[in-house]
Amino acid sequence: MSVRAVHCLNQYFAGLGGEESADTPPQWLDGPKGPGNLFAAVAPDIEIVATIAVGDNYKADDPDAAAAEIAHLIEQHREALGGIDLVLAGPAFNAGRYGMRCAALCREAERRLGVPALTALYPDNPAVAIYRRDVTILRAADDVMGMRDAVAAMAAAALKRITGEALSPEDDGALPRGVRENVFAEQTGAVRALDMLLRKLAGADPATEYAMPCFDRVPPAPALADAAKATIALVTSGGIVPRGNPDRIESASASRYGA
Amino acid sequence: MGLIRERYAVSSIAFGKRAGVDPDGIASLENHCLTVDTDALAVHLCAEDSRLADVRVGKASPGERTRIVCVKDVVQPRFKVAGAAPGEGVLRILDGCAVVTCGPIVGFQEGIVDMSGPGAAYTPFSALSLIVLEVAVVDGTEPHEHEAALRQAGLRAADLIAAACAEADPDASEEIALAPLPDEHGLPRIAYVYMVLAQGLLHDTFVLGRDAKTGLPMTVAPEIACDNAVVSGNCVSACDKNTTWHHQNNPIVTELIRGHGTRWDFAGIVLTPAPTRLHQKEDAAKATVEMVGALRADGAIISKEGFGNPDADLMMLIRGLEKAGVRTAGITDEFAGADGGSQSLADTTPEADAMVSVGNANQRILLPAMDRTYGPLPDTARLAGGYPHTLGEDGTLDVELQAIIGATNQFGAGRLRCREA
Repeated sequence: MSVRAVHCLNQYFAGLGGEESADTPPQWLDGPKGPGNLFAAVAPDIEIVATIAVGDNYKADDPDAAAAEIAHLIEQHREALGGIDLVLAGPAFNAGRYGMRCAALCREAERRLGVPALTALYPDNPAVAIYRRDVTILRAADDVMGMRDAVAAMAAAALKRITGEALSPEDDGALPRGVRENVFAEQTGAVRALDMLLRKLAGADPATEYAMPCFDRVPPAPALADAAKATIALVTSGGIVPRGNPDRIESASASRYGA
Repeated sequence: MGLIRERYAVSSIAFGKRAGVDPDGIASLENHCLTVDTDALAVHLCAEDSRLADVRVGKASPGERTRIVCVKDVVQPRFKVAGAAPGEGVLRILDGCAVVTCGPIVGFQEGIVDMSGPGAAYTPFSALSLIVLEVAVVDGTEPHEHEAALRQAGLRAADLIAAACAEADPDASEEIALAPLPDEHGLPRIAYVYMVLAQGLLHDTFVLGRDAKTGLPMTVAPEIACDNAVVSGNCVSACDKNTTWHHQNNPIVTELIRGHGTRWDFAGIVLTPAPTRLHQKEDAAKATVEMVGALRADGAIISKEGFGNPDADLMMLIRGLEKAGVRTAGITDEFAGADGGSQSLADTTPEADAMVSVGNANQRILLPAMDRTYGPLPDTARLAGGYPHTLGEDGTLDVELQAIIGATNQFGAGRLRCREA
């Protein structure tokens, strides 16, 4: 199996220079560059047929627009390349602009080109919170020291995604997308709960299956100047309806709002 | 003194007259085949309860292209030999089979059992030989009477069937009698906090024949919990409704008994109610924490029924127990939306750091048409977990797992779990 990939890097990792080259617009380069060569070492099945180098500052204030431009560039070269199967971006570790570039491109590439696209970021990279729902992001260290591990994780995950297999945070080092998914476990819930309780009693990590969510505190709006003259709306998701239920809101799985 | 459970393995069901001695006999068991006289059973049930207009008896076997809607309750046929107190004497159990009550919707929260296809993996009942009671009540029956009539019909049928088979020899026999462990055993003492819905309005449970809205929390011996002590009177969402069958086969009780003396010291069971009012919840949680303390438990495992409102009961129990120095593990399902991206629980607490998740009940599933259906298929659109468009023209059902009986059982009876993706 040979998987034909296009790889996106910033100016630094593509060897075009440091901050002085950060305005470089998207450059189309043949074959792998920099970290791209590592993929060949860890996953001979992945062939990087082209590299796109983009400066970190290039349209950094609108990463989605830049991503659309880069995806368009790939589309233009697609036929001449004999087709592509995969888009790789980064790893970008904890780099802010580069992380946004990689994640935005992955989302755009999947939507536009219909091929798997993935990157690797440090969990606290700001791009994770913005793009994790839509993008496959592998866990990376916070700096370049973690390059080899991140590339290996990206390569293994890419090959899984090519075959249509789902990735999981537990098995593949994918960062959680912030969504919950059902799977069948080896053991029943009762057995898992007792094992969990024994772990907790022994002072070990209970390895909860549902971490309690953290809630943001929302400051209340400023007080009304004159509440006596205000028209006040009560908004509720509590299933409370006016007498007679005039909006005919269903008692379960409601499909409409009432006002 | 303990409870002796005599088990009879049932591998198939046949309909017919009982050959031989007792012309009124409703069922017989021979070579693991349960033969049921359907006419006699239906006549018997209708004669005993004037609320029942019609009872049709059918059967369903694993692997068949059969669908049962709207399932109210599932009951394992069991027969208690007369003369013994709860938790003592001989209990005869027909394994591998169950009585299912279904028919027109009672309270929006009945469910679906598919015997094959993708839905079968989500319900334990697809693996059993089922006796299906399709029950119609007389016009004008109030919902609470409808619920009671179905509940009692299922219990009565299960009792009659099991009693009729009592002369067969059991395939296995076991005694449940939990001996106290010798001192200095070094094992953690684990209690089971067994939550039952006691909300009224078709969300009730019965404990030793009494409505659980009064008298709970209470401590029960494991032997009693294994002796049909708890009966479902619930129209809570199908996925996390603890049916009577689940109470009869509570896997937490089974596992705690299994590991008693080797992995832990089973301290006992506290049945705790999930009521509706805040002060009732607070009072129940406080009394439950005291009872668990009296059992001298180091840890407690807490099960739930239903969702939303009972999430608050669960979190109060966890908070109270942890504060009292009892380590907890809770079992819950999730309602995280069809995409898995929404807030899963109605209440949370930081102390709940050991939670088993038995699945996101909002996950959609497409159930293909079946060859045979018991119960009114169009009613599925009004089930919790159903939608106005649920029933396709070709008989497919587009529903949430919520509509499948037992899909996210919070005793942890199944293997489904939910994880971060």
